[in-house]
Amino acid sequence: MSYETIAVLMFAGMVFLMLTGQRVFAMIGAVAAASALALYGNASAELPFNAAFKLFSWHALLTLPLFVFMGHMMSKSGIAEELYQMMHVWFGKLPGGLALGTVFLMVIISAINGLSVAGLAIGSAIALPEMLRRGYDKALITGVVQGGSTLGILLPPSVVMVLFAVIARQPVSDLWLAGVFPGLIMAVIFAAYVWIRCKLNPSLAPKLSDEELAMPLVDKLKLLRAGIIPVLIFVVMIGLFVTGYTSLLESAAVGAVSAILAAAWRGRLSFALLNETARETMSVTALFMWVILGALAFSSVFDGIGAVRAIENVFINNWELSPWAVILLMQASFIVMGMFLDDTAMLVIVAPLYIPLVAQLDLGIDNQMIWFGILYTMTCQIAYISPPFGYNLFLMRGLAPKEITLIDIYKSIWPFVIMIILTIGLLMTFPQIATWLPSQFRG
Amino acid sequence: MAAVIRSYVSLMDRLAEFIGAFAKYLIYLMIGVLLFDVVSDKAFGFVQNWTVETAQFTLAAFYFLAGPKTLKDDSHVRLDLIYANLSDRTKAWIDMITIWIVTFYLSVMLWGSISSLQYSWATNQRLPSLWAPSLVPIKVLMTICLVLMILQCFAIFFKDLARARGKVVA
Repeated sequence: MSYETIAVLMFAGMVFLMLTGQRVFAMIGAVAAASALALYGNASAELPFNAAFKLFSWHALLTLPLFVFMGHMMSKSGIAEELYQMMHVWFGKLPGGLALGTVFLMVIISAINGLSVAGLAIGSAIALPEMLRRGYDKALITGVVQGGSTLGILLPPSVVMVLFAVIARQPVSDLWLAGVFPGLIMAVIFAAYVWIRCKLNPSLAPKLSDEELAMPLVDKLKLLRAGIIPVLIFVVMIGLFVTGYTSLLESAAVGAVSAILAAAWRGRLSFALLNETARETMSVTALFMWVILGALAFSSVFDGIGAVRAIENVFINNWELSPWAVILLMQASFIVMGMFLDDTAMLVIVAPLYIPLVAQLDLGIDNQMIWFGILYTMTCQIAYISPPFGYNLFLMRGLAPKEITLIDIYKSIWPFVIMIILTIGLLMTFPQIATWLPSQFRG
Repeated sequence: MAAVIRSYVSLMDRLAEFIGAFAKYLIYLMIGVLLFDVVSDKAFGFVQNWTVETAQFTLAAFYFLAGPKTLKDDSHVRLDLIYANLSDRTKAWIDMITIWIVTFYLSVMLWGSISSLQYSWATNQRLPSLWAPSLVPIKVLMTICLVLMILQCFAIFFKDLARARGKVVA
């Protein structure tokens, strides 16, 4: 049997097993273990287990539990409610004001946590009920929370970029900085979309009454204080890290501690909260780590049979694709695979295949790998919210108020998927959007 | 369902809960160790050579100890595409078969961990670093966790079996 056939069989076997609905981490791991034993015999029995020790050299991965912890602590600390209050008053007058405020809220939440889950939880628990009560269009606001929360992985800090950095051997700080402008541009596009739609069709977002917004300027200014804590946390965590004062790991630890302090300052810190956050962190961390273990084993076997060279062969020699066509094809394959694969597993399995190839392509872009990392992260955003296998889709169903059905959720995401693709297009046309900021810091 | 099986399932569930209840606090150990590292480095200029490695060991212990509980709570991701639309009975039938694939993966992991532990034990293997901690303790812990995860899979099988027959194991 040729190695190409084995590779295809492994991939097909994995997809088939995952379709049975059994736990994803074990289905990936089982295919890896079975193929390793079949190909190399008993000597390879240690291969799946050794993945756990491979992780010992991935120091950056230690930030994962810290960011998960931070996100959870932050969303329970009361900061989010205060921020929402601020948005409410300051954006209330504009067409679609609360939805615009929610986009802004999502940007701030994204800047202080590394996953999209916290934004989703905060958006569904705090912003959605308020907007529903005021008769905002369900599909519009669900989309805002869905799309907006995915900014969590594009704006620093970002766990997805930490994973990419580890696999592609690129500095995390460069990737984080590179995500800033694409993230902000995407947020502006989201906001413009909301504003235009509400301007054209005011029934989507009923105006708030004047007395509700009537508030002395002094009080309005006081509300701005809500923004202080997030800015402080962002500066302490991201600022110290990108200037090189603290390491990534140290920054993440500082972030986790500052989340505890923020909760304490708001008077929300309790033994029950510490308990609940620890439980939640353990469960989410285990979920990620076991998928990474299974996928690492899979990728070792894949690597061993020369899948990298096989793909290179197909793309460059057999199909004679131009470098840009290769990039486009990779993006397309990420989107298709994102429908069936969990994005962490996708990264661990596919990235080692693509990254050496991307490094070879002559696209005329400085810092090509950093740029590709941002492209990849944006593709993950699409994978998060697009059916059938979107993490956020299913989380949303669990978190959102009952009036919002799965149909509403499905209907709501398409404009946002299109806007993310638009931003990807921008980034491909003007790579500087991503690569400029890190180049400034490197001096 | 026979009383023996029922008490086996309940014993495994309590064990998973008990371990999880203890293990979740490891996150505070991780934060504490890294915070100590920051303070000692930035405030006093002492660079610690053991903190990051301790955090690594703690992380490994964290997600391995979480193994039995997260299996029991069904908190791992599943591909919902087809599965979500099936009836509860059909899900149970499929799970009853596929849980053995999970067991297979974990068994190969266990096999690997035992052989890796034997090697570490025989050669007194240490992490190649300044601090050079022994790898034996963490491998012992991982091996025990894998055994517990496999035992938890058996318990899940019995629960699925009961669900497939339209019953519930307490």
